[in-house]
Amino acid sequence: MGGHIDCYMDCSSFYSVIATRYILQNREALASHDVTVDFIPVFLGGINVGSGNKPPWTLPAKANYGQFDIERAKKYHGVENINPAPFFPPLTLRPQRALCYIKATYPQAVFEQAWQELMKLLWTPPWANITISEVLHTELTNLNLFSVKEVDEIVAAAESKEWKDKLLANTQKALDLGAFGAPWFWVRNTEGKEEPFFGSDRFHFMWEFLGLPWQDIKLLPKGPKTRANL
Amino acid sequence: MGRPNGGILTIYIDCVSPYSWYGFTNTLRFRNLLIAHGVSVEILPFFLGGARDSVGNPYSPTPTWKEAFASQDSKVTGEILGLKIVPPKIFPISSLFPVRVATWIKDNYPSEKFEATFEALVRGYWSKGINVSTPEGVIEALDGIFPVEEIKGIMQKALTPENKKRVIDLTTSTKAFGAPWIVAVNGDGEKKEYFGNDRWDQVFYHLGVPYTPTSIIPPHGVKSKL
Repeated sequence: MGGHIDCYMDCSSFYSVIATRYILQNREALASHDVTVDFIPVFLGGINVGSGNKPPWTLPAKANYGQFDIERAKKYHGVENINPAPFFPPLTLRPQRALCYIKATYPQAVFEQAWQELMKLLWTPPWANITISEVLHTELTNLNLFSVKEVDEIVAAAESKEWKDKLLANTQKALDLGAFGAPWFWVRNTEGKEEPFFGSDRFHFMWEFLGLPWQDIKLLPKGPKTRANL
Repeated sequence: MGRPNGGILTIYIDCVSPYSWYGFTNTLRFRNLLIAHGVSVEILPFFLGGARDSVGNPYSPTPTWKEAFASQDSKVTGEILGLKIVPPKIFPISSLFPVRVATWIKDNYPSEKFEATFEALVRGYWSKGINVSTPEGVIEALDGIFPVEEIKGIMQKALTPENKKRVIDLTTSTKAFGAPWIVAVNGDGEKKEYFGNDRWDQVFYHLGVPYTPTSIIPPHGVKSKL
């Protein structure tokens, strides 16, 4: 056994939020099979442009369908409190650069907690527009993950060439791996074979590729005790 | 900024216990700071009644001589944390059923969902007077967290042998004689266990995270006049 999952994600993406939670929820089980997980901040806008894709909600038919799918996904994953902010779609270059810097500077647990907290700020009422530098500063301070001096450094890093370049490089890496949206996963299995996975609804394919034991969804026949038998 | 080399804080809580609510609330307040200092945080449900029985410390009513203090202590602790405590009319109740529900949610939903569930159950019992020992009470308490149909499904899954066993395993995984029960493993792998919501100084001391002990702030200007 063994393997690795690279998760290329942007906090602006609803399905990235869902996938992050799902991956984290399953991290212990993955670890028990020696599968490690890494989160890599990218700029989804850049992936769309670079691959010639466009956000799903810009095509009317997809926008209409998306309303159904998003509600179903929220219900399935038990996250009914997630909703787009009034300022949606956020231009997440700044927070994503900040996350690149945090990932390179702090322990993994701090980075991952910051990542989840920033996603929460963009997707859970009362929201905070962390694409604005001052708001990002205030909210990072309120997280209690960093000292004020550290927050100063993070917010400054988000404006610097070094971390602009890092986010670009991450985004380009994802594009080179074939990404056309987010979440994008690059997965290596025991044999060292690598394959891409897209979206928050292909985890069963991923587990299969990784050679992990998993249970398929199953339709149950009608019967009075059906539910209790679960 | 110094960041210690790891550590794990685990807190065991049961919605039948107001001190579990206080410990849970404090854990959420401290969580990011602990993570910032390299300590990971785990919140686990357990069945307090079972834990007490299994270590030979079964529930007994508060003795008369302790009643006034117990009531004051619970009320003021809640007040300081911004939680309104209304002693429930029916006390005690068996929390086995809601603990089973919370445990299933803990294992099958994102952690935020479990945390929202626990908060709603303990607030339901200790603030709103909902008898959460019954399915009806659980549905009422979890209104707004889950649609009714989903709670009904969860309640059935909570009664499966696997989930019942999971509750027993979690409950007997420590030598807890009360709630909340805190297990702190520091960066050197040394484990210490704590009873209650009022040993945070000791917990932080053991984990090696910097903290300010309870202190009095001098009145403004006093220092310069000295």
